[in-house]
Amino acid sequence: MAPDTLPPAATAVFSPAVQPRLTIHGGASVRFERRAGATRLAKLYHHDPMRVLFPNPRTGDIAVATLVTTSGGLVGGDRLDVGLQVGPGAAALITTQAAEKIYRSTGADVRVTTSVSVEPEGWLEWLPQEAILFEGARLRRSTRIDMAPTARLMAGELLVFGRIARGECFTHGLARDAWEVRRDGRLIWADALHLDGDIRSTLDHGACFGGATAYGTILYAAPDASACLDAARGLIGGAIADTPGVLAAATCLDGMLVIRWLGVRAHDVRRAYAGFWAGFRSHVAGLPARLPRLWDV
Amino acid sequence: MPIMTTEAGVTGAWYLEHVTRLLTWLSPSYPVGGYTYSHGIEYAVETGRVRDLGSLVTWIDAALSRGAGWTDAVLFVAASRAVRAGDEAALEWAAERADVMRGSSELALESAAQGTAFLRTVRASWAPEGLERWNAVLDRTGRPPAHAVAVAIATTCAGMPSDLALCAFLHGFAANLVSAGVRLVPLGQTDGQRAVALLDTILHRVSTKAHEASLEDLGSAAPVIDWAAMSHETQYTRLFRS
Repeated sequence: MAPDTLPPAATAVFSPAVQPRLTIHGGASVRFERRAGATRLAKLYHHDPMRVLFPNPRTGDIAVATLVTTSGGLVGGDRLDVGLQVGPGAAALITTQAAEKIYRSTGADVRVTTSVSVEPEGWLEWLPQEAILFEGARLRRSTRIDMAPTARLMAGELLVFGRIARGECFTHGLARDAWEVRRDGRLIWADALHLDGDIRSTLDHGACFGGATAYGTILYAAPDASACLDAARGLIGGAIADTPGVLAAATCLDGMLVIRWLGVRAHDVRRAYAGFWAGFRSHVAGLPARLPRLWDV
Repeated sequence: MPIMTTEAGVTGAWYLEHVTRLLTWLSPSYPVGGYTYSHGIEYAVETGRVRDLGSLVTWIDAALSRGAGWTDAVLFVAASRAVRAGDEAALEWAAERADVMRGSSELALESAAQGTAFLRTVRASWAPEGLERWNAVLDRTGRPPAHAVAVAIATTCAGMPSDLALCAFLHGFAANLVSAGVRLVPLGQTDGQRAVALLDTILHRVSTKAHEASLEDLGSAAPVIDWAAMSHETQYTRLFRS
């Protein structure tokens, strides 16, 4: 009912943040499968400006893929299509090399579409680094997840509203981040953050964002998700114990945990979010309680 | 300029039977259990975020303009249009979205339990023409009807224009939360009515915007309410189910 419109043909974009250049339509697709008792890369495709790196996992950890956007950021009209697949019984963590910068737009939207599928008994962590929305940026991001009933997935997103260190705030533009999760073909959760118009007043509003400069979500979909709710709450409590400016809470909807994060200091939100992720993967999957080195900063 | 009406001008007017139906279906006494839900206000009061008339209105304004009130308003219009057009696939789409776009398990319960009770009661009592057909479409989705979708279907079957029906639905939503706030803060009944009066302009604006909105832009922007509703699940002393 609400189809994405087709990307516009390549056109010159003039933005104060970057030199005029053609819009890009990049993509990356990665598939892991379990072969001879180990997870192997089974398919790989990437198209400029996207690359996929495969750093050696840390000792005792699972296969890792790192997505890289070499253009240094996205401008209005750019489009990225990402496909992530984990085959039966395989286990992988996919992250991104750096925060994704979304520059001020002169009108067109950046479109990022991610399709995730996790097959029977598969384990996937989809842990992209934060997207930073520059003042006037326009982002439409959609993530579609298809799960087998026995698959397990941790997936997250983090948005930062403006270049905080420079004192910049995201006050106008568009931040749309839509998610759909299907299990065995049935839609179990849909969610869409949609921020437009007078964004400053919504971010400052006490019952909307309460002055937050960063906003994140972590999902855990798995057969044991509802049984892990109390453990998730305990880990959240630990992750935000020293950061009073961070709000976080968990709920369980149709066999999937949804954990929300928001806070007035983006750095604190990121640290709490990453700390929770490390602890939770250890709790539910017995994996090392740490994240790839890119997350250590 | 005020519109001057005369007795002759209103008697027999087309909307009179709509008024009595809406007053009934969206009244606090309609048996959907609305009084048991606070939409996170109980936790917001506990933590001092809602503490007086102004902060209560701020909270409900966010729910109406940016939260579940807004997404429900857009899906209400979509469901109403689907029924009017006889488009079963479009109704299934709206019903499915209205079922799964919920910020917490208690907010999902708030919508689904009231929707289920509303539809059951209307079918058994008022039974507007055509309701059974759309009830069967909802059954096919295998999902409980969201309150907004159930009201959209019944009011459209009863021949009501969707702007009239949606304003009544949003008024019921807002008035119910004011009532929760009056009990929880607590506030006097006059302050409660001040809140209802302040929210009236807001909900009319939400209804107008929802009729103009694109489904491609369906979404919310009130995560503090979702956070409060999630946190309410573990609140030690609770009177409300959300």
